[in-house]
Amino acid sequence: MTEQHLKEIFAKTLDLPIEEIVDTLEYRSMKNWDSIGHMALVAALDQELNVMLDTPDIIDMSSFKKAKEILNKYGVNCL
Amino acid sequence: MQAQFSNITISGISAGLPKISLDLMKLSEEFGEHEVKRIIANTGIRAVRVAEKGMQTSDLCFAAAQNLFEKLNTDLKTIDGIVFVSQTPDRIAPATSVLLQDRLGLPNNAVAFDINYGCSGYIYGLYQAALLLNAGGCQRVLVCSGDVITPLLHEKDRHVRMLLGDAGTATLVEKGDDSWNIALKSDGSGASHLTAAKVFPNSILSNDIHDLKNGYYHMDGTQVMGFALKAVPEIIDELLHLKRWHKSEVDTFVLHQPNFFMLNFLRKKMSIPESAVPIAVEDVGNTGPASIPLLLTMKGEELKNKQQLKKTILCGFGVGLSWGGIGLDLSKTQFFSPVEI
Repeated sequence: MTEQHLKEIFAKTLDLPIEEIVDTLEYRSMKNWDSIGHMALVAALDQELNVMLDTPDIIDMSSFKKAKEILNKYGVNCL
Repeated sequence: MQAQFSNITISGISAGLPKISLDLMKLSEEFGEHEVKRIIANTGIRAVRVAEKGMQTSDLCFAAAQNLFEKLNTDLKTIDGIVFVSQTPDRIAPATSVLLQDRLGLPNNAVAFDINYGCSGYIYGLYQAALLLNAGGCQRVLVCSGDVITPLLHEKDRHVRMLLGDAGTATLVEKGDDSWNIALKSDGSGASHLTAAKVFPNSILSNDIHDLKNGYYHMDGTQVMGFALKAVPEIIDELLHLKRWHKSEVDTFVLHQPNFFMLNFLRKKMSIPESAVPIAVEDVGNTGPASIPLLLTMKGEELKNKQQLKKTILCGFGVGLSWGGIGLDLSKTQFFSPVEI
């Protein structure tokens, strides 16, 4: 798993250009990453990486940077 | 809270839907076609029912109850309890259940009261009916659950307008040969995640009324998703334990219907096969306290024909926060397709 792969998942799920997937990209900072986009991201992480996030992590995944840190806990190293 | 009730059954379930169906693609002008398609793709909801101006929750429940009584050939004099569950009662006072008692022509010796709950409300309604029957005061209890929620949705809030719809239902609960196990839970610390915070003038909250969006229905989707993904699997495990059923033995899990994504994700998280978790959101959206019985009126007969209702778990979750479930047998229940008004 690389950071690039995670960026691709985010870009595809949120329908954003991959250049816009940066550490500072935050939940609710744009229309596509709203609660529905967040829901889609949680599903995509399960489908693509076989990671089913726990509830506190779903709520805590507030930025792309934070997503990388959380995934690290699940053994997915993309830091 | 856990409870067990014996000698009880659900004889029939019916539903009432507004005739007006809002095709969500028609909201493209307001929210943008791309945005509307994105939301539809993620929620699986293509249309919601919208009550016409002046139509109230009791109108939908009345239509459902009338249909139920007619189809079951019910002697109205035998109904001695009515429970109305809704976030959108017709009035602050009197209770909508009393209005329904009169309008349906139910006897004056019927006990009638309202319960204010949303997506978990059907379970609360059935629990209340079971208590009335179990205490010996009632023989047959009508549970009406539903919402006319669309007037509470802010026109610019696409997240709720593209999810929530109006519906009313009626369920007849009476003495029978089934045994129910019920579990119910509450957590008011999550009240702000799902709320319509119009408050009484002397409430301590009234100074914050503008912050609380002046009564429009508010939903924090991420918080609600987090809550549901934790609460639902836990309470289903609890019900399985109470019923002494293994998960694989359960024929059908009828969950509250928030949207396709959440139901599918919950199903995967609990390792339940697709066939055991019916979904009916595409044409009606999330109908709050009506969603479980409404699904049963749409898919119940088909499930019954496939012998998939003997071991059934119902589970509601949402506003409060509150959640609950029942393990029961619906194989002898009659389900009647929704009537449109």
